[in-house]
Amino acid sequence: MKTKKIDLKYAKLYLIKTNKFRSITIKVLLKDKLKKEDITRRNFLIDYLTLTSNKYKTRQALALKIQELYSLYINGYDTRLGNYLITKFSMSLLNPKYTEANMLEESIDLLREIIFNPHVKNNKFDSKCFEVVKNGILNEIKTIKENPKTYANIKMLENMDPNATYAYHGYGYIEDLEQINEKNLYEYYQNLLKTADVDIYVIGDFNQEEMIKIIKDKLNFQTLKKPKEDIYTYHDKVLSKPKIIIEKENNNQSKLSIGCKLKDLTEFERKYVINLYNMILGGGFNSKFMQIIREKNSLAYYINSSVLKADNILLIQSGISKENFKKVVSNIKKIMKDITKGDITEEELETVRTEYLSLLEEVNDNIDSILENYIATNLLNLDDFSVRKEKIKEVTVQDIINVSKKVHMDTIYLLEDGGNNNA
Amino acid sequence: MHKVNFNNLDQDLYSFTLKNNLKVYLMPFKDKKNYYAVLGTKYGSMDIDFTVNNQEITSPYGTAHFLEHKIFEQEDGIDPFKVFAKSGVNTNASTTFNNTRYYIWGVNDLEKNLNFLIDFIYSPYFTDNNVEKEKGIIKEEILMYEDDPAWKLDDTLRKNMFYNLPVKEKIAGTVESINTITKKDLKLAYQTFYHPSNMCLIIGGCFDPKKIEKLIKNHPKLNSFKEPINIQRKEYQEPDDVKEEFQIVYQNIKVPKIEFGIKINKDKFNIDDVKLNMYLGIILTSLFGSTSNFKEEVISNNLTTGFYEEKNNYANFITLNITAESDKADILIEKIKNTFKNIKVKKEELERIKKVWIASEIRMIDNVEITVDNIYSDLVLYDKVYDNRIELIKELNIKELNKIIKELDLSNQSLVMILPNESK
Repeated sequence: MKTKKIDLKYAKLYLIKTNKFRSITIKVLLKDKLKKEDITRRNFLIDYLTLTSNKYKTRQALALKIQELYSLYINGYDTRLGNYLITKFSMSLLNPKYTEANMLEESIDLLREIIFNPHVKNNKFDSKCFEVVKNGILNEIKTIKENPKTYANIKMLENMDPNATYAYHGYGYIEDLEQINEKNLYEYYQNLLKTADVDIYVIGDFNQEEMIKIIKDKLNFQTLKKPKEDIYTYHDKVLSKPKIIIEKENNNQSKLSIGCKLKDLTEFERKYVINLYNMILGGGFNSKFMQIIREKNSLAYYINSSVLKADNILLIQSGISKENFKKVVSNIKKIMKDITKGDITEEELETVRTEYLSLLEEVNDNIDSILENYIATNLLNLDDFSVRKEKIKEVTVQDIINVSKKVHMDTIYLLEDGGNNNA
Repeated sequence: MHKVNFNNLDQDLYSFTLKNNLKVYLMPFKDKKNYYAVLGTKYGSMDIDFTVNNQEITSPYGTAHFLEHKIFEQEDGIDPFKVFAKSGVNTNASTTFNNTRYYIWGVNDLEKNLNFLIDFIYSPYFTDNNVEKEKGIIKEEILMYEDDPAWKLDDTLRKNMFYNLPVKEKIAGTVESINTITKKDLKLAYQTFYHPSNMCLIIGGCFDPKKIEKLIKNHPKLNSFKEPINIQRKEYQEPDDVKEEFQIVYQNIKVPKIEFGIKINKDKFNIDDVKLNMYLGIILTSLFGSTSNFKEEVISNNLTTGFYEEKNNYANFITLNITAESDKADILIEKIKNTFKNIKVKKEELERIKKVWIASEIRMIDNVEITVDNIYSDLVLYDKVYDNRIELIKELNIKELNKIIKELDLSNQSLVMILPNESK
């Protein structure tokens, strides 16, 4: 596998050459500073751009073109990563070796069509398509509550700090949706193309010269340079006692979501120690949470933890019965406290270290994992794989104990069930 | 070992069958470092009634799923998750209507971990205590799915479509039914359905097939089963019509949802099961897929924000299902019904769908897990592996398709709607 970074002035182009896969994947990232009001219009925009185009004016016509190109995978979505809002266009095609020689150029041409040639009339987006997209976004916002697990996480993060970027969820907001029309969204689109920070990634088996030529030719942005924004959020204040918020919904199961702030992590801790700490605590089937709360006490079917790296937050989630709320929370607190007191063995550490290294190896067997990891490494300023493999070996039990003291429980949110357990 | 070139794509597939009838498939990949192994049994939530030692057994609903949880319990207290984790290997299991499978994936020590996978599945340990302990965990699992409208739709639709086939019940059973499950129920089910002759083992990824073959052929646990056994499952008399044609369910949701299903008896067709499944797949894709007129009409007129079509095999029945979210459900349902009334697939369309399917077969082989899972599904559904699906797809033709369209009886329909509690 060979990687190459090329500065196209208007964008950075990353080429990853590997002959292990039968497909080629291209991702175009438009990054900029997250603003709450941008989330809804950006979702709207990406859905609009991938629904139709100027050349393929109906969804059906575009779908037919996609099939003609040997069933291209093409989609677009937005993600929040720390203080960034990132729009990703993703396209994957069968390597032309298996189809026809001109498929590479034709496929990238369709990506160009989608990004640069939207369905526009009189400097406005098309009303009919606009309504279809609006209806879809409205529906997404309306149905957030239908997924109680997601909803509990959203509410927990909002309660942690309503003004922090991590409190903004990705589904969009009704009040922002109401402000969007065919004209101002088109203006927003034109502005985004000029101002976003653009990265283009390509992975697969291809001729480098040919690929650079096609990319320069088809994906030519006219962006201006912008000052860089720190992607990370840091916490300066922590609570001595966590907030508890309980809300009721008429569901069968209660959802627990707990947010912990990670304060003053060193670079080494942020890159390595916190990952292993999380794996020991609640990162998998073998974690302390699963062993004690599920297997020993039968209190839950699932209980896990995860790290929102860019937000410096550790998230804990579980589905429980409301009468067990106090028991589960006190178990969680005890498990976390015990680690700070040294309740962790060399064996536990070795197990998660092996798991970490194994996960790293597995990444190389999947084309999308390689690419997504490469992108995350760039965005979060992480070390590359060979460095990671060495550095992870340096983590000691004492490092885990030290980092565990920097994990501060902040918000405990319970979405309480209606008690109708009618299964 | 038997060797074939899978899908003619420069990818070998080896297979052999042990004396006890365990079917084994090995697919070594050249460019991978990982591996994925599945050991599965053709025992699922619908295997409720069976005969063992001349005794007719009726087990509680949810027994297969309960057993899946308890297989991980070992007499010496060893936790399989921990054993695998030492090599950085993951494990999990799942139960559906017609099978239960256990799988491991990772990059290190395949031989050691495969040995252990076989060891732990063939050394169950049930006690009154450990069975009792699991009830709290499974109860939470059942409640979790109860809050998911997609599961609710599916569970309700099956309950309404079938009179006797046990697929009418939920895979995990109910909180009441699992509370009645005992050590004895699990033992009986285990002895009957976890015999190697009812099971298969598939491994894909980075390994030497000769070494793995040797390991499997010499595994003491597998060698302790000498003869294949004959499993007697109850044959259910299931009518062709649906039990209930319509039901409304109220739930804590915001946007109404529907699932519409058509029940089809497979015995009426004189064609291979795999071909029948493919042709029905073609029909569904043509009527409701991304390039269909139906999709264009309902999306552009805002009759739905999203829907999907799927096909399910339950014993000798197939159901064709459409699931959608819509606040104009009445109009949408009429459109769905009308779309099924007039099925015409043009030759060009058939050819286009075939091209798309072939492309996805080629892509699939880049992924060890998906390839192994597809081999496993073939074994569960058809009792054999179709190692050249691309050839099968190429053989699909308009003449056979039209014959099936003509023979299709689409009159047995059922509909479930989930409406918000507020609209009660």
